[in-house]
Amino acid sequence: MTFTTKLATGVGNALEHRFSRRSLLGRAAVVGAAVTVGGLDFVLRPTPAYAAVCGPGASCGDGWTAMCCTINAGVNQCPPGSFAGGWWKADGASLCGGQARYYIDCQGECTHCGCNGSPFCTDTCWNCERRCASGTCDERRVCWNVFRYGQCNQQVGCSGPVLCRMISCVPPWKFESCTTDAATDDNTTDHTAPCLSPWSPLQSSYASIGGAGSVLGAEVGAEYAVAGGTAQHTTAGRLYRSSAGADRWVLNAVLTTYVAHGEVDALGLPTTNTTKTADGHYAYNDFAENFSIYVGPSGSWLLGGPIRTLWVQLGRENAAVGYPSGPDAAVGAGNWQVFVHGVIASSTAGTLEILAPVAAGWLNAGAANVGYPTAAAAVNGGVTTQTCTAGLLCASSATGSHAVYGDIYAAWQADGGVSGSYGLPTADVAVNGGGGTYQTFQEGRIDAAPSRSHPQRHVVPPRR
Amino acid sequence: MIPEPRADPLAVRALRPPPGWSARVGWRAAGDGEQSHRVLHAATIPMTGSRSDYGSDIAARLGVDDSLVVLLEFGASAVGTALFAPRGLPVPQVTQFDPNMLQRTLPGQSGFQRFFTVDGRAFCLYVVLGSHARRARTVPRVHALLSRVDVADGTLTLRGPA
Repeated sequence: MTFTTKLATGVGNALEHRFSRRSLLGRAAVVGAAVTVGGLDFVLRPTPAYAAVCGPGASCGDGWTAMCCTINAGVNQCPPGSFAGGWWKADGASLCGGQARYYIDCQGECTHCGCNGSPFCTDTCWNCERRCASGTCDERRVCWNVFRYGQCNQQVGCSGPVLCRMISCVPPWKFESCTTDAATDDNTTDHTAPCLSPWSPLQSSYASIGGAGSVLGAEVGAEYAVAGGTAQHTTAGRLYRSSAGADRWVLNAVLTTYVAHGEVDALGLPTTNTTKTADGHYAYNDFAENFSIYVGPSGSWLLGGPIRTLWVQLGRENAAVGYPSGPDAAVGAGNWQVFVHGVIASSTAGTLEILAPVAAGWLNAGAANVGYPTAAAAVNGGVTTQTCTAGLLCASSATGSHAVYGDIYAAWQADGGVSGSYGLPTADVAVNGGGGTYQTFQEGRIDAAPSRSHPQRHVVPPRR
Repeated sequence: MIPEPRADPLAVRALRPPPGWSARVGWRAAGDGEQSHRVLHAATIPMTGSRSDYGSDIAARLGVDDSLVVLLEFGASAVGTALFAPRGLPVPQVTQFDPNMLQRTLPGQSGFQRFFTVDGRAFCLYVVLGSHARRARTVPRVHALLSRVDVADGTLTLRGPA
């Protein structure tokens, strides 16, 4: 079974239990968040979980502004068409591990008029509509409160109302155009929403690398459980934490392939952050189940199994085959993967590179015809050859790169092969007029009958 | 619970609110990397301490004839920016109060907010009225308070009556 097949099975299993698991995890996340926010009060009183999750003042009539993630597809940052207008903090916030929790007001913008001496334009000019958030317990106000804290984007003197609030455990001046002029409102300490994560080791890690100002960008939705750990979506990727306490991130360039192949359930948790390759141009992640995803000059490709093992042994992208340039493919009792400068093929005969110049001949012939390599390529007198389970790859500057296989191969070998009277192949195997196949050589042509039961015939004898 | 703002000794010495007002000038201890500046809280209700620089907890306790005035200073980098371009302490007019111009919009209340610069120092004035319907009655009392605001000599305080 190739690793592709294993993956397909893994993805199927993952999908099968993801839905049931996600609903369970969703419930667990709500309860977990509620305990963090509501503490013993939540545990001991029959308070609805969602009421505790959003903290106090969560109804529209309470007059506070909604969280941005509630109205911005889960994204905890200022939505398009708004900008950071100011910030405040609540000290000693349990939702930030006992440290300061920061609130960034995202201001709506004015569409076609000025402010006439006020810092705010009239509501007929706003680019948003006053409303109550809906869909979760965070039913706070949206595009409603005409107010500005004033420390951010002070070059903008005219704005609309507060659209929503972005939440951060990292000071806003580290990722937004804000000053360090402090403002405090401890009354908002426990304001939150289901789309915001409670404090956790993963959240601590996210804050330590810079939160929304980090390479991961802003958080999207709340943290959730995955096999063997937890994960957090962000605008630029995902952050994972293993139950052993290792935090690793996968950026979007790699993530698309990671998710397409079954993510954690199929490939395991990442064991590296998305890391630049040594040449500085591309990136990769390694994963716990001995997979890697490389983003190279030919796209993003998954590597696994014996092919990855050999590629890693050969120096990864510094191997002679270079970066992967295609998916893993399986034919017969083996599988292979194309790279920028060749192929790595794996079968019971071993896992070997097929490099230029013989790689072209192997790719043209296909594993179904010439089989899988049984030895490394050899160079003798300007001729490169590589033996395969059902034939031979043969290349020279004068004749090109071609595979010889099947009955033609048997006849050619009987004649002495590379050293025989026919010489080197000058073209790939082709179909002849009788429904059989033929191949031209430097000194002749060998035809094979349609059926392997018939003996091959040499319609053009060697000229020497 | 965050510590209450520390009193500004210079301001406290000269703090003379009009009758019916209580006032306090102070600043909070700055956290890591932060700058802390003076903030004036004045209200027509007793202030037992605020957990909010813009006075959200004080505003929530205002009666229909009560008012809250907050004057918050900003750092020097704000001076000269578009937001703080207006010069001089603004005097809010009755018509300028808006039920939505509030940090937290509570039923019946209205607010006023302006950013401005005085003597090379940047400030925000924020006023909350307990009742928008009774603003004609309460705004003159706000004017009386604002007429005593003094930011001279690097301080922020309220002068005594002339």
